[in-house]
Order: sequence, then C-alpha cells, then structure tokens
Amino acid sequence: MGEAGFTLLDYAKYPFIREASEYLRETQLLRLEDLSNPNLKPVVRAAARIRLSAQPLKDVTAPEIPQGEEENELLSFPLALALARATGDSYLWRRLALYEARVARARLEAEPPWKIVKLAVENFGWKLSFDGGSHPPFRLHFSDYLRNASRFREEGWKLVNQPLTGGYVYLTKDKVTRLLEEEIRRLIQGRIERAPEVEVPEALQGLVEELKSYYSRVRRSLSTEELGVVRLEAFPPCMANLYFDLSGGRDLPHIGRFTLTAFLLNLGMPVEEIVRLYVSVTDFDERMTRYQVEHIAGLVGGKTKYRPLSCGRMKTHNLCPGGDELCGKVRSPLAYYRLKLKLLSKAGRGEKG
Amino acid sequence: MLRHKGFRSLTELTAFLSSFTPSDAYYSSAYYEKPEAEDMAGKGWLGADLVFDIDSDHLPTRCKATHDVWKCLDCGFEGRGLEPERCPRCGKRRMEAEKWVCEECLEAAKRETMKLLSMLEEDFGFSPSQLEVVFSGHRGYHVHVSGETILGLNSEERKEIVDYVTASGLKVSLLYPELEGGLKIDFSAEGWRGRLARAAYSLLLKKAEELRELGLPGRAIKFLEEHRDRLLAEFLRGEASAIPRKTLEKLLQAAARVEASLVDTVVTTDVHRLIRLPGSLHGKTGLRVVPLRVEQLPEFNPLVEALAFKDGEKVKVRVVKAKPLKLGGVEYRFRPGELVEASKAQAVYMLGMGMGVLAQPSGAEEVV
Ligand code: SF4
Ligand SMILES: [Zn+2]
Ligand SMILES: [Zn+2]
Repeated sequence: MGEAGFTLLDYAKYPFIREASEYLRETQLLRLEDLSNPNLKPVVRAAARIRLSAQPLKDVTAPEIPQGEEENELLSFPLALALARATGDSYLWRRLALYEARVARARLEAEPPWKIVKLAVENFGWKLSFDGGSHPPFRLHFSDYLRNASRFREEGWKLVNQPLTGGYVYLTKDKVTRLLEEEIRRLIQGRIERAPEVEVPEALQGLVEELKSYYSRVRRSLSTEELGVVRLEAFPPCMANLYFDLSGGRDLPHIGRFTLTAFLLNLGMPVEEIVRLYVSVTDFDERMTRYQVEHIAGLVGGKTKYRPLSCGRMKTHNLCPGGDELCGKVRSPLAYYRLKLKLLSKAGRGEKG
Repeated sequence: MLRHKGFRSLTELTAFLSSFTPSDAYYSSAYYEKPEAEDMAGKGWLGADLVFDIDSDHLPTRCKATHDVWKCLDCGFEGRGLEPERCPRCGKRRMEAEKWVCEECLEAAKRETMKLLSMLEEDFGFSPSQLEVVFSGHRGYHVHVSGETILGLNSEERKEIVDYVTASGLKVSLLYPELEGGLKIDFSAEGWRGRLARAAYSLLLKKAEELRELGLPGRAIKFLEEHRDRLLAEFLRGEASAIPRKTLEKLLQAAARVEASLVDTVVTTDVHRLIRLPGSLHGKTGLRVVPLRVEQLPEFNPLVEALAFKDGEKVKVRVVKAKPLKLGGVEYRFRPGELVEASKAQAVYMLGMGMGVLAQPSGAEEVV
C-alpha cells in the first residue's frame, strides 16, 4: 500500500487538518490584505463554498479540484470561515460547518484506509486502527465512538448493538466516515464560533453583505428541505405560521413550540429530525431541545405521548390565525393535515389521469 | 450538611474528620479547578470518574417477600416483596414501602457487580487496576472506574455505557440479522453478540420453571424442551436452523435479561455525584465502606468483613422493630420489646437502622 504523508492535494481536500494550517502558516499565503479583491480566485471560491452550503445538504458532492488549483482551493477555506464569521449569522455558520463536513466525508469515502486513520488520529486524537484481516476492519476506542455516536439516536448506533471488545468497537468504513463527519462538523463550527472578530477589508464588505442577504433569501426554502417526509403544503394555516415564524428566526411562545413539536411528531417525523430542524433554524441549545422534544414524544419523563392542541384550544391561545375553508370541516390541525393530504393526492391522480 | 470542602492532603482530611466526626462522609466523583467554590459554575468542572451504583433495593430477589412490605397511598392496598410500579388495585403510582436488606439481597447485589466487572474488563477493556469495587456500607456496591478515557465523558455518553451494561435498547435483530443461509451462532463474537450466544446455550440446559421465571412464553419453552438435544448440538456447530426465528429471538431476549447488570442509571450518569467516602462508616449501619480489589469481591462477605467495632463490650438494646439480622456470622431473631445484650457492632446496627433503642441502666429508655 502506498502509505505516505499528506500531499498538497490532501491539504486542499481536507483544509481543516492541522498540517494544512501549518502549511499556510509556513508559506505565509494567507494574508487578508493581499486578498482584498473579490475577483481573486480564492475569494471567489470562498464565496462559492458559502453559497453551496445554502443548497440542500442531503446528497453533497465534493467539487473537483483542478490540477494547479490546490493552493487556491486550500486558501479559500479559511477565507470562507472569515467571511462566514463576518456575516454574524449563526444559522449560516452551522450550515457551512455541516456542508464542509459532508464534503470531507464524501472525499474520505474514496480514500485508502491509512489516510482515514492518519487524519482521525492526528487531528482528533482518535484511537483508530485498520486491519484488513478482520471484519469489520476498523477498530475505534469506545470513548471516541461515544463522543460522536451518542448524538445519533438510531438504534443501529447504540453502543449496546456494536461489536465491542477490549475497549474497541469494530466498524465499517462507512460508519467511520460518518463519525468523522460529525467530528469535523464540530471542529469547523467551533472554529467559526471562536474566531476572533477580524476587520474584513473594505473591498470585501460588499461580498459579506451579499452573502448575508443571499442566505436570508434561501432560508425559507431550506427549512422546507429539512422537513423530510412531512408535506408543508398540507399544513393548516396555524402550523404553517408557527413553522415560518420559527424558520424565520423568531422566538415562538412555549405553547406554540409545544404544539408544533407535537404536530410534527404525530405526522411521523423522527425525534432526531425535529431536533435537527430546531437546532438548524434557531439558536436553541441542542441538549435542551432534544430533551424537550423527547419529552413531548413520551420517550422520557411522563411517558405520555402528547397530541397537538385542538382548534378550540389553539384559538384560546391566540394561535389560530383564522381558518380557511377546510378548517370549517375539522376540529384539530392534525385532522386538517390528513384531510388536505387526501385532497392533494386526489388532485395529483386527477392530473395524471 | 457541610459541603464544598476541599483538602490539600490526607492528613488534613483525617484531622478534619476526627475533630468534626460526621455521621456520613461523601466525596465528589468530579474533578474541579476550585473544589471549594460555593456555586457549581465557579468550580470549573474538569471531568469525573465513572461510578456505577448497584443497590439491592431495586433488585427482584425472593427474600424481599419475607422482609419488604409496601402500601398504596391512594387506596391502601398492601403487599409483600418489591413494590410494583403501579398499584395492582387502583393503578396509581404513589407507594410507601418499608424495606430491609438481608444477606441474600447483598449476594444479589454482588452478582450484579460481578456481571458488571466482567463487561468492564472484557468489553470495555479496563484493566483490574483501573477498577475499584467498594461495599457501600449498606445495601450494595459501587464500582469506580478511573482513567483518562472516561474522565471527559458527558452524561449522555455515560448513559450509553449504562445502556450497554443493562442491555437497554439492545436489538436482537441488529445483533443477529436475518442472513441468507441461516444465521451464525458465534460464542466468541465481540460484545453482546457473543454474550447472548453463550447465555442462550446455558438457558437451553435449564428447566422449564426457570425459563418461565425469565419470562419466556409457554410455547417457546415447549419447543425448546422438545428439541433440546438437537438445538444444543446445532449451537455448538455455530448454527441455529432448527429453531424458528421468533423462538430464537425470545430465547436471546431472555439471555439478555439474564446477562444484564442492573446498575442505577441516575447515579451512574451523573457527572457531579457525591459518593460515599471509602473507608468511612455508614451512618445507619455502622458498617465500613470497604474498598476492594476486583479479585477480592467473590469471597467478600460484608456482614462479616465490614464490621467496624469488634471488641467484646456488651450493650443493652431494647428491640422496637423485630427484623432478621445476621452479623459476624451469627443469625439473630428478635421479639418486639425484647431486651438484648448486643455486641457493639450489633448495637450500632440496630440503633442506626431503627430496630432498637438504647436501654439505659436506670431503666429510662431513650429513642436514638
Ligand atoms: S381552525 Fe384549526 S386547523 Fe385551522 S388554522 Fe385554526 S387551529 Fe389551525
Ligand atoms: Zn391503590
Ligand atoms: Zn433480602
């Protein structure tokens, strides 16, 4: 196996790694005053990174890195973080971190095992090794596993369902890169959040403003993407309002948040996705959000599964904006949704037929 | 209660304890920058040992029917043994229980501790030197795990470890997925996969009553009994084709219940927990909180070896609550109102646990 060190191409592919930062420091390539022209290649690419993070992140593909562009590609990463920081939009920060982490994962999936191991060990201190003779072939210490996997709530990630022996979990490449994605996401998000407030050169101010307004424009459509299986077009007016308030960054009253959560849970949206939704469109603390959502789902505490408020109670809490035609036929937002869904699918069949 | 104390040396600590003589002493499992700080935020949390708590209190032992009683606070319904979660008559949850602990309870706690220790060593890879078992001085054991790898774990991550040892969220269908050409029973497989296989094999050797107690349905038991020899032979070859999938799942689920170590989730996932100080005396029983090496646990008998007071001076105690007691290898049976000449260890236990009061020489008796 061609085991070797990282190359300049690797730095461009994984610009968050320690060696890549060192390379930039040694070569002194990263000097903001030299980069104060929005038409320079690294700046253009940095802005593109941010715009790409505003696209749906379900299936991220890693952009090609043309021969000879490695340094520009590498430079564009810290620049993108600096631009992101300058927008002051924490929603953008989270999306950018997630986007970059998914790109890295897509690239890692194509790498030989030694490179995955080297990256994880040197940058995150993982106790990870690879043995082609064992199945599955990667071995990761349970503490590194838990730091990342305890955030995924699917049963398939629970430690109790893993092959654990001698302190190590045996993992497939697929699982290792998924865990790495999580670690990388946290690293990048932390880096943006903790970055010192730097003065963006005069010439780049316009770009920052442009990115900022771009993000606020796409925000609404992004939150639809985050709804997954749930169909926004079948929402009753009350829930659509709550949902848009939330995704517009507005603070919902407690009862509003409760009833929206109960509504989404009853539509079959998994707890994990609701938590992700709240965390991605708001500034809510992930742990508290999860606790509250699980509580409403009946997973913790009282073990009672809650239903959203009925139309009558929505009205008393001033959460009913006044119904449309369909509202006259139902007594609860859930019933509205089901009825609307039926009508929509009928209409859909009608069109085809 | 005196809290937020810090000591720079063992001498400082022992000097404080011998002058202040508290009835109970605890220490924090957490490491802080400033342990003396009065508010939690100012302490600066650095990490915490992982401390498992095993308390016989909630273990379903047979002896509980002889020494525990409970009462529903809503309808007054009463019963013996471990209190149910809900009242069987009215379905409410408010229960009042009078609990006792006996040698059998402590043995049960020890068995849970041994299962835990074997998972910590085999699955989690801790060396015996990283593990310390401590008799809690009353109803059970603590297992202290130290080491860099666990210090920084948050409670969510600790919960995953608790779920592992208690087999919560264990999914047989994930550990034994349906495969083409039948599934493989592998005794030496890593983690729960191998543990379930080994335990299922020993379950096949058990009698029907025992399987029923483990919650296996009658039909599954009947099948297992009828095909026992064939199944045993198949298991040894690493196969399980002669057993219907449903029955196999039931068997493996029962195996998980047998092998799970019932540790207390709340205590174990807490990263700011106060833990009884090893070497101190328990305020109710007067028994020593005894630290043990892993290999000492199997032979350890707390009701003999944790006795702190050993001299022969006798104390007169009037029995107010007649509960069974076994201390220092001697079994005692009391009648209410009886006046007994007790050894010091016995007297402290009886007074602390509310079984008796000190009988004054003058005849004036005082409730302690
Ligand atoms: S009538 Fe009911 S479903 Fe319609 S908007 Fe009001 S609360 Fe929502
Ligand atoms: Zn009752
Ligand atoms: Zn008992």
